[in-house]
Amino acid sequence: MYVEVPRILLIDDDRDIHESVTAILHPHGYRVTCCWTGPSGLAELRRARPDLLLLDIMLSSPTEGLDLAREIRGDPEISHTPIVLISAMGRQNHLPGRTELPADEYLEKPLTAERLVGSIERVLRAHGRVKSDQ
Amino acid sequence: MAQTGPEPNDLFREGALASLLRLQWFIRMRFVMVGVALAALAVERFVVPGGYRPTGLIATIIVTGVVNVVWMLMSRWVARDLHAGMDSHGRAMHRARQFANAQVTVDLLLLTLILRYAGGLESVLAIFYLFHMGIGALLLRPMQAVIQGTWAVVLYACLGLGELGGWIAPHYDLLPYLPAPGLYQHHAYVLVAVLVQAIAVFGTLYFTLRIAQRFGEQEAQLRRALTALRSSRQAIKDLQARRARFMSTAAHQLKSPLAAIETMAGLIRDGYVKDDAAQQTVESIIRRCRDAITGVGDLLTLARVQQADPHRHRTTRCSVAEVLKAVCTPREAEARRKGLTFALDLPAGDVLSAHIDAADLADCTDNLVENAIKYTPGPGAVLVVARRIQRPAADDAVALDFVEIEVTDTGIGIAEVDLGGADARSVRSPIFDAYRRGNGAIEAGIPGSGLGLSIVREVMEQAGGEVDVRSQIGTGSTFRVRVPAAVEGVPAAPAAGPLGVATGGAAAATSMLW
Repeated sequence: MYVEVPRILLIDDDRDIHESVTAILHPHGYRVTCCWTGPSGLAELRRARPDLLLLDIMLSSPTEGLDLAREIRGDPEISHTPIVLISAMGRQNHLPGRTELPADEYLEKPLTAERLVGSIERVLRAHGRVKSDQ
Repeated sequence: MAQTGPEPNDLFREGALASLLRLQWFIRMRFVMVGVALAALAVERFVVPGGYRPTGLIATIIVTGVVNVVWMLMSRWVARDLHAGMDSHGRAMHRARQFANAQVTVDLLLLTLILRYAGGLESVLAIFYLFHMGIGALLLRPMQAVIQGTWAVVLYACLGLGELGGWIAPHYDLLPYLPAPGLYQHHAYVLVAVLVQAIAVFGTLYFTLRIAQRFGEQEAQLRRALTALRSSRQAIKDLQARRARFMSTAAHQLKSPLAAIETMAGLIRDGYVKDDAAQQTVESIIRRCRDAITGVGDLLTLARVQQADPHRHRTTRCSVAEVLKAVCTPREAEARRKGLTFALDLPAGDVLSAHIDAADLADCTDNLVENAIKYTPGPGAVLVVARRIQRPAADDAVALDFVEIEVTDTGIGIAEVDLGGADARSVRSPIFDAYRRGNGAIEAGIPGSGLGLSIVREVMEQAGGEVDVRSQIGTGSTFRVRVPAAVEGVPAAPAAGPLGVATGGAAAATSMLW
């Protein structure tokens, strides 16, 4: 399924990250919707069915984002949503050992335009949702 | 009768019983005795040709050996149950005790039979009654040991009095080739022998039971110490795990503003931010720098509160009224700038003296007042009230005086789910956990380190106080803290606060870093 303008849903409690992610992705042809909390983000995910979810791990509690990702993966209606987890903490601190990541990729903050766009394009391509000009 | 736990003295007996069963100590001793006796009789037959031994003596010794084989087989079964993880104070231990009791009973009977064929009341082998009393007092319950003592005296008396009265045939001598003293025929000797034997038996029982009791008390003390040690070790492990989680979360919270700063600076450098928006991005970078500094400040405050001696609160008196005035004066100006009405309500003529460190109380109340202003959009109101109240103590026996401080706002409120459910309004509410923030606060984009309420809880727990919260989305919140009041002429509050949270060092250690 090819998408003209991929829609990205960002769930993060940091307003500056909202603005930064929007500033990075908009020129690359993505449409970004932002939510501050897990519950509002999940409601938006069910409603809008975005092409990719950018999900911060530490929301109102240290692991809310991980719990949310697992909930999404367990719900057949939305389990196919590509998920990129983002966090200021390294992956090993959230998921020690060989614990399976309930997402397609993990991006450690600070975000740079190159890493963010590269990760999103890679995940979308893996899910067959690459932009039509690629 | 309901099954109850073992008496402290039984702990030692049970331990000794279990060890002896494992080593089959009784069985080994008996086999040695049987072997030595049979060997001595065989040697005697060759060395002293005229020595005559009755068949009954040899038969009794052989019966002792055969019975011992039965005991040996049974002991494996009893010991297996005892060490197979069964309830050590239950059926297995009861069975082991019965097993030891049965062995002593049968041993005393066989010993009397051997005496019958080896010297009667005049025989030195009677010393072995005392040997059994020592073992019985160490392993059996006191009443069982006394019954065994009575059994031994009755057997010995029957032997002597039976021979004296002619009801049983005269005994065989221990050393038949020596002249027989014939003392068993004298009333006085028999009575004195039975009396001396009874005194020796019950005297041995008394002293051995006393020693066993002392050992039992020491064993109980050791077990209590061991239990306390294990519990402390677990508490330390839990504390280390919580500390590791806290460190990881704190590191994340300190890294977050730095990561946002680097991302925003990168956007300017890489040309993602147009010239007209660059100024706004720089302002955001400065704001995040301030956030980081505030976060480090709050972390240092929490560390200071946790590291300080928790006993300092009980030995301190501070005026809550004065602290609140100092805290509220700058905050009132801030509230008015935001379009809020602000009021501090203190009782007239009462300084509200309380047992709490003034600096900690200032940190605690300033966090509550700052939150009330921060989460209340204008126009709205913030009200700070302090009063003296009486609350029942932890055991509900005595009412204690407290100073209650209530901070009420008409702000955005906290959702029930963030409070941890409808009933979780106390200190256990997760809203007091470090780095826990309500979704409403995040949604409203209100910055915060997430440490303010955990500082409040830490101070209250150390001071033996209470903290609770009532809140409703869209209506506002009320945070209430209560600290032990200082009353003139009345000593400081007890170590355990009304929450049942001890304010001692160990409790403080376990309450660190939620």
